[in-house]
Amino acid sequence: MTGASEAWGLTSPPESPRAAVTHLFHHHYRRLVGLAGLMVDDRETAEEIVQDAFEALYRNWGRLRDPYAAVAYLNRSVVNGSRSKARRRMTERAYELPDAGTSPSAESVGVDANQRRELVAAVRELPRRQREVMVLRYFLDLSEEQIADWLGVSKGSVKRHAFRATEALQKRMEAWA
Amino acid sequence: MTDFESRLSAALRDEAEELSMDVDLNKAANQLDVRLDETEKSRRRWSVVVAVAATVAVVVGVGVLLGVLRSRDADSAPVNPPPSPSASASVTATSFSSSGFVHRFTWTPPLWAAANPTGVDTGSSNRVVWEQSGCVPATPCDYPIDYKIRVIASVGYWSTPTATAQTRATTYAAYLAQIQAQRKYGLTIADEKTTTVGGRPATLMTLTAAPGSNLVSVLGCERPNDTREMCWGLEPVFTIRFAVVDTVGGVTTMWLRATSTNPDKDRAFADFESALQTLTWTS
Repeated sequence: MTGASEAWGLTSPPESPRAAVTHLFHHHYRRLVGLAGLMVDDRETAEEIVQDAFEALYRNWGRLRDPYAAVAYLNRSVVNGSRSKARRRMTERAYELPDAGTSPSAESVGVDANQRRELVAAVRELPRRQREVMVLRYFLDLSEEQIADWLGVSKGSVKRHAFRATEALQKRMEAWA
Repeated sequence: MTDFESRLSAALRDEAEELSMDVDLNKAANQLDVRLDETEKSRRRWSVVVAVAATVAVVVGVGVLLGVLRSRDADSAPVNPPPSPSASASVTATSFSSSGFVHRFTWTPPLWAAANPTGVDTGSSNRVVWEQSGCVPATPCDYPIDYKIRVIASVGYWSTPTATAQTRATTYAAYLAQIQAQRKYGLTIADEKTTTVGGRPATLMTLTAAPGSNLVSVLGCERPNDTREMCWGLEPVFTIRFAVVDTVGGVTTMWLRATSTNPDKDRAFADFESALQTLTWTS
């Protein structure tokens, strides 16, 4: 199975657009709500954003160059919907959301529940652009070039925002020590 | 990945997982079904509207053609030009007054900025930034629209790609000399003119950076001790219309940034220049 087909959980996507969108919905909805939830402040809004993304995918199904690009479309739609920012055309490859089953949990890297909550709260308090950069970098594992492309900013700008955000978050972590 | 980065990544993933645990998937699937049904109905309605409109267009077209043939010898009436996109926009210009910026000012920014007031970032006393929100979500854009306006009270700059410390931006003349000096590192300066902004002497110019050049951080820094990556510069993919203003107590730089390939950037630059003429300094 290739990375793209893993995104579908099938060796080939369903032929009918409705069946394909429904299949993707069951496969990716929860994780996309998690992504949107990191960028907005409540789950209800996150769910609305993800629902919008699936509806847009269905509406634009005929424009997809490749059904395997659907996951990339969803990821990016959710990021754009969360940002209410500039939207670009589909990327050429599917960026997979991290698999919660194989990613290290906060506990395994030495962050207790309270620290985790404080760290996430600190991320939520960052200026909007810094928060977006940190979520794309450390949740979606995008590179600086990819983040610059997704957010429609320069690589230098991504570096600046990441630098400032890291500085602010590290100060918060030092305060716990 | 550093220890800090691992902790942050793990914390974000745990938080996302926790958020998604509360999702009622069946309810969400039913909601999506309803939305997709609505999309289908809307699509069918549009098909009917398009068919009717096409028929009407053919009938009207034939009528117009007949009318033209009948009056081809008569003088034609003057035709009004189509409205420009900015004139037809539903957004109206809105005045903005800086309250936290070190050199207070009031101006009417370009229309796109007025349409996106939440894009105003006044997080520093030496910075005000507008960023365009771009296209409607889920509507593919013909090209990325990414206008940004930066207003920076520059206290210093990194004078060369190899400088080891910031240089202070002390006077208007010194700052202009610094910008001119960047030519040897790949900066192109075009359409330069002297003017006034809010009654203060100013120089306007269009700046681009040569491919492969390193002009990061040469435009200015908001704080004296900012590192290179925290300061403002120019990357080869962008073109900026740049105004250097001799404000009382220091230099203020104001610029509109556009992607160099944006076919509409000249009009955006003209709108920016018009907006500069509405500016008044209030401190």
